[in-house]
Order: sequence, then structure tokens, then C-alpha cells
Amino acid sequence: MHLLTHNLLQCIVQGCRTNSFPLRIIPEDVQEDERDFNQEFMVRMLPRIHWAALLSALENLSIQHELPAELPADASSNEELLQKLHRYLLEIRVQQGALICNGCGRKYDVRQSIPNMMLNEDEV
Amino acid sequence: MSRPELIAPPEVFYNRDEARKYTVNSRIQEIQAQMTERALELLNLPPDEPAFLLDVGCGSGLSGQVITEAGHSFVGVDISGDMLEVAVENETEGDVYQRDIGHGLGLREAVFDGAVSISAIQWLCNADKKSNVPHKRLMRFFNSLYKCLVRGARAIFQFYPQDDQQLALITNCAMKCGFSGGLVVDYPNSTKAKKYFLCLFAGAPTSYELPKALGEDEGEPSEGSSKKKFHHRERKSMKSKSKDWVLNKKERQRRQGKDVRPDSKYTGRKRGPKF
Repeated sequence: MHLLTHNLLQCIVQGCRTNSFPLRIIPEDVQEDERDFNQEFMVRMLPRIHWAALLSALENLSIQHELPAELPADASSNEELLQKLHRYLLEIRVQQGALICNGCGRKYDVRQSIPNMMLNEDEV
Repeated sequence: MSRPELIAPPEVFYNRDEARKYTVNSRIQEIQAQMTERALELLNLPPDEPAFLLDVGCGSGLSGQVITEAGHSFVGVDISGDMLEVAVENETEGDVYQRDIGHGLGLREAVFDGAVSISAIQWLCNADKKSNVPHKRLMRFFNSLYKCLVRGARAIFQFYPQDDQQLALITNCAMKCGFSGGLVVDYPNSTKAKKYFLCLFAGAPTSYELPKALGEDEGEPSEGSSKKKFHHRERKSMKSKSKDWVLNKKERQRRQGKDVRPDSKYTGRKRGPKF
């Protein structure tokens, strides 16, 4: 699971209303892939990225980053920032670990880079 | 046609063996790739722009390959963990996560430019367990899908409906969740090449028109029944292997989207005597 996917996943267990996003990452094995940088794609994704969720994910993985606290207005023309985002969102991968909902405490395992978001019938 | 959804629930049916079989079978690969290409065509994305798509029921990532080759990125969701493991082993470009789509997708709002799904939503109509109510599962799925798409995005579902009732159930649920759109049937005159594509539009675009189906006749579908009767009468009166019979058959196969040689003055001609 890359951080871009983490940026989308939400806990929807029944009754879990507040703090269901973002999920807290408990990392066990974190790896880094190398992928081609696609500036056009990054610019397109900029407004859809939940900035606070990205920052908290990086914090969970204890990765030192120099990202500003908020998405800067000129981000789409700032190639250096886009390169950094590309690395954080698409190259850093959680291979093993778990996701925990801050609202209801539900734990989702991540095995072989696949988050298991399956719910039991009584949780729907 | 074999219907795996009648054999076992998806997470049970697509076990380790079935997942491998599925991925190495070149015929399945080809069909999946073709259908995904067609689905991407129906999505009608702006050309030369990398889009972010959701692959519903991505399985072992066969459709994902086509999406990546077309220059787009995707996130896949599937219920079968074994299928997803094969996808990861094959190093698909997009991320995958495991979830029962009948429980809702569990994704944030307005992030995807579109969604494609190849042979997946008919599984939602299964009632394997007492707690599985097809209507509820479809509603939860379409509701969560509508939320995670950007306004004006399209979602294309290729699937094999079991009967008209199932078809009506799926389309009704989608409409109730705010989607507009309808069904595109490619090669409606062929039993084998016939493909159903449910084209859904999230949010109301200013003007939309359903994409045109492939291999479709100019005639109205309501004429279908009368045409059939006419054919039937004609065929009875036609002598087998006569020129008219051959021309008629070639025309029929052309309508089914098959590769048919063009007509010429030799078509349906008797071969000369042999000595």
C-alpha cells in the first residue's frame, strides 16, 4: 500500500462517525519503490490529496519531511515540491503492518502490501 | 455459459488455484483485455491526460495492465485475497486493497476520474448467506461509488446479467443512488460476442448521450421480434446451401461481429464437375 491509497481509505464500520479518517499506520516493514515521475498526474492529484492525512501518515512512519503545514497555493508550478510528493505518495510502500481507526479502534491488517479492509456482517 | 457466481461466493471460488488458472489462461487474458479497452473507450476520458481510476473487482490485475498501458493510474479493490496476491506478485502498477464491495467501498469523497469494472457486479446479486440481501448490497456499493467519483465522472461496468430481473435490479439501484445513464449492448445479435456495458454518469453533465454499441443494426430494438418472425419464415422457404441462403448466413454472421469474407460473384456458386 502506497501513501496515496492510504490517503483515500476510510473506516466505515457502523457507528464510527468521528475520526474515521485518516487511519493510523502501525508500520512493521516499509519499503521504497522507484517509479517514473509524472508531473501532469501529480498536478492533477494535488487538489484531491488530503494534506493533513499525508502529514500524519509520514509522522506514523517516522519519515523526516520538509513539507509545509498546508498545501501551498503555488504547488502546481513548484517542481521540487511535486517531486517530493511523488516520492511520499507513490514510492514509499507499507509492506507489512496495520491500520487503526482513531474513532472506533478497529484494526485492519496490511499483509504483502495489501490492506485487508474486510468487515464482519455485524459491522456493516 | 458457465456461471461461477452460482457455484460459490467469490472469496471462496477465486481461491489460490483458481486465481493462478485465471491469470495464466491466455483466452481469459485476451477477453479481459478487450473488454477493459472497450470500457476505457466508453469512459470517454479527455485524451492525453493521465486519469486516476478505480478498478472494481480488479482480481489479479488483468484489467489493471490495460489501464496502465493506456497511461492512467488506478486503485483496485477485490474480495478475493488470493487474487490480489497474484496481482501483487505480478507487480501491477496500481495499489490494491481487499474488501467486499457490497459493504461499501470505504473511500474518501470525490477522488476518482472514473471507474471500470469487468465481470464483477453480477456477484453482488448473490445471496450466499442469510445476511446477504442483493438490493441492500447494491445500494451500499453504488452509494459509496457515487461519493468517491468526481462530479461528471463515468463508471463503466461490464457484466453478464442472469436475466431481465437481475438487470432491472442493478440499473434501478444505480439510478436510486443518483447515477444517470443506461445500458450499452455490443453485438446484440450474437450469443457469444454479446457484451453488456452499464454506463453510469455521476452527477448530471450538461449534455450526455449514451455511447453507441458495436455491431448494432440501424433498426429499432422493438422491431426485433417482428424481424425474427420474418427471418424464420424466410429461412423455411429458402433452399439450404442456395446462393440466397449463403448470403443470408453471411449477413447474419456480419451482424454478430464475426470476421466474414466479402461477397463476390463466386459466393454461393456451385463448384464445377470433377473428374
